[in-house]
Amino acid sequence: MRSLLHVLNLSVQSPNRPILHDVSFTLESGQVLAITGESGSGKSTLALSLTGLLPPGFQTNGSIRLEKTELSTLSERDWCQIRGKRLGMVFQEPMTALNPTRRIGTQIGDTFRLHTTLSRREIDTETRTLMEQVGLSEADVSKRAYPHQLSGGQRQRVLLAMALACQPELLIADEFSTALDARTQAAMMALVTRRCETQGMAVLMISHDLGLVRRHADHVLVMKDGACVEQGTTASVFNAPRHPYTQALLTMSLHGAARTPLTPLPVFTAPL
Amino acid sequence: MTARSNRTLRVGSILLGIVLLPATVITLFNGGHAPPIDVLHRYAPPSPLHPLGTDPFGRDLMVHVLTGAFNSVTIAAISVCLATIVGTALGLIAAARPARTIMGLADLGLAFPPVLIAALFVTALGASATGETLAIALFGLPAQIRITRQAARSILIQDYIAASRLAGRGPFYIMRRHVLPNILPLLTIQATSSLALAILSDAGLSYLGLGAPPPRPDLGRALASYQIHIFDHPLLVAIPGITIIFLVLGFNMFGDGLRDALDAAYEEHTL
Amino acid sequence: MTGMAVFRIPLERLLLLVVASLVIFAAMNLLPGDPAAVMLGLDASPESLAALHQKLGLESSPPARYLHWISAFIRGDLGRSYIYDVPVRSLIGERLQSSLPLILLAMLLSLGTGITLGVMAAAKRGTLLDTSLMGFLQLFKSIPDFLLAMMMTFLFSLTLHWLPSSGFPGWHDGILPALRALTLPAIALAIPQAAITARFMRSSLIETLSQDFICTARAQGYSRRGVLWHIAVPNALIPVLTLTGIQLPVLVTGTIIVESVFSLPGCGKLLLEAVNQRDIPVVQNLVMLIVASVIVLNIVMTILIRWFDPRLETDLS
Repeated sequence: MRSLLHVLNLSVQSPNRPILHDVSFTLESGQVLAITGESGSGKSTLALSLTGLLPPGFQTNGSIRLEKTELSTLSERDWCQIRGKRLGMVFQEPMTALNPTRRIGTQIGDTFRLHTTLSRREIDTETRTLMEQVGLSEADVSKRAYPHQLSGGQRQRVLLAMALACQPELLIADEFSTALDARTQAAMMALVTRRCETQGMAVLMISHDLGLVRRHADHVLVMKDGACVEQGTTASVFNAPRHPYTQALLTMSLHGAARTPLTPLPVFTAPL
Repeated sequence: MTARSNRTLRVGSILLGIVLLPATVITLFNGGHAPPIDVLHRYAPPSPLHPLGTDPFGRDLMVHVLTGAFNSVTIAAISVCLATIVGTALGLIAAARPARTIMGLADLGLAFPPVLIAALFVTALGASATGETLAIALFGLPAQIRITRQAARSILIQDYIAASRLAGRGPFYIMRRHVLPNILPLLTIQATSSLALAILSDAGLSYLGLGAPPPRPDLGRALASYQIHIFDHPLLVAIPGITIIFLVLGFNMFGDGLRDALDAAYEEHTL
Repeated sequence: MTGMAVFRIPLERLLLLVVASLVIFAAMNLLPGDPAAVMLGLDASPESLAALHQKLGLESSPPARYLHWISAFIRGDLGRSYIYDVPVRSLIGERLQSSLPLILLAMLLSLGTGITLGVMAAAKRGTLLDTSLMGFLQLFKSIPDFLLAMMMTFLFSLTLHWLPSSGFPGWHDGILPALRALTLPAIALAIPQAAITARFMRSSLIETLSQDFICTARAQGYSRRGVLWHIAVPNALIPVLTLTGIQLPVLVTGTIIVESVFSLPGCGKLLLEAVNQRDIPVVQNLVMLIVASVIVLNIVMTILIRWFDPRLETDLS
């Protein structure tokens, strides 16, 4: 097992206020790392900064290394070689994350077109295979369909297909199965996990759904107010949480709040 | 935001004031008629007697243009009033019930620019100020219907309308007491912007000879008759031209400033 | 879902053509005043009035006259000009030689520059380029088109002598002189339209660029430029197409005015001449033809928009 993603002392500053402070972690190939915490804790900003897609005006300090490539100082041109090819990303809103005016086959094919030299015909076949893999069978969904003709779950599958097309080393999934029903969610996660096992893809999963995290993640990183409060293996964090914030998170999820967004927790000022 | 809107409003008012104040004063004196023709003093350069010189008929250019401006604004204002009153009424009806006929009428307006309406009127009845006013009003009607309908609908879906209905209030009462007061600011802004458009329409129509007939001075017609002098007497084209631009820009900026100011007031109110 | 669904035309649009023809017929035939008297003037003798009545078919009832007119119109028979005593159809055909190229040229120009400027402003949003461009365009919206045309004649033909200031040599002397004669009018016609298009394109593009799918495309590996031109612009163009359809009547007005300023022998000039000479057959048929073209073009635009925006296809059924 080799380590794939190194994040060291990552801080992000929006034009108005600091959002992330000194976040550090590593992620190894084939592993699933879950990042969790209440809304506003900086989870999504972390995901965006790892893909270099922070809005203009945001300032990043620290180091993000994908194998031997230092991402934090990458030029725009080089970023375009990384995104979609070595790094796939699935966003949280399946209803709006697809381009309404292009066929889904074209949108999936775009990833191939941008990063490979495959011919039209080859892209067509690859797209078809990929759609089968993510559970969009020919009989149900034509690749000539438009996003508005699909259900939320189907759209999420399309997004996953777009992200997985070039067999990325790292998949960043931002709350990507939260909007799905339990069965689809399980199927999608199984698909992702299979990729981890067979191709050694690493997954950075952003989720507030602790049940999901517990089932699928190897490691967990708990965030609060833009800082990492606790990280470790899933077993250690869930069985013996050290930080009071993590303990509170776990208690709340045990009381059946696992599938609904967490409301802000009481503020803990005293460090452990 | 408020500071900026105030500035837009102020610049708009200044542009309008420069033209409208002297225009009103002069019209009060000459009753909207053209200044006297004086063949001995054609194309006179600016002098104390004629501050901007005289035109090819020896008429005082400044008086002629300002009287024309007053006439143009009068026609524009009457047509906007007509379009606003009729359009608001029809728009409210269309908002209250499915009214395909009214919306069809509004669609019809999309195909009839004022020149064509005026062309039909002038052919059948001859050129007249009434015909021109009607043509401009008819053209403005569809937009007025659409905007009123949309605005009224957004009010009609509110809970207090349902409550009022349950209390046994009739549609007329609801429109008068709840809908109309709420959409009034929007209608005012719309009317201001329509005025700019109506002045442009009036200028175009009278330039083409489809507007109010002579001898009443008119900006568009003045430009049509002066345009051959653009080279030898540029002032003859520049003065009426600038007057029109001031009026249109003035009403446009006034409308924009009003919109910003109202938005700001609304935000303050809700916060 | 078949591809043919986009060609379904809302029935109301076709009904609109009928209503428009009724309005035009009513304006020409039912308003107080005798069309024959209008055409001949005040001092016409009763005999010539009666003769003209006969010629215009004014003896029959209005509904019969309407049906006669509209069925002839549909067959392509546009009646006979009273003044020139030639078929209106040939008159219009002749005038279209300058009007049609003028309108096409102006539309190309206005869409081309309007969209380009809009994209530029949106891509450089908030910069000096953006704000100054938008202020400039606001000013252009406030200048009447005939005044703009006059200013352009003054500058480019009378002062700089680059292009002819008026008239149209026709196409028989070759394409170049004709195009030269149409250049200034087309630019004058295009500028106000381009100003409106640019402002609209800018806001539409800014709105599109804030959508989630832009982020998805960027995560897929699209460059900033690529996402702008391949993803955002096509989406932002849809409302601009709608606007172009709505602006068609304004383009008609502009054409009539510009033809008048530049003395182009086009349809707009024909309409004004016919109005001045009370040539009712020409006015009635020409106005009907213009209105029908606008409505038909609007229908074409609707189909085009549906083709661009697949979401609307399902709304139909």
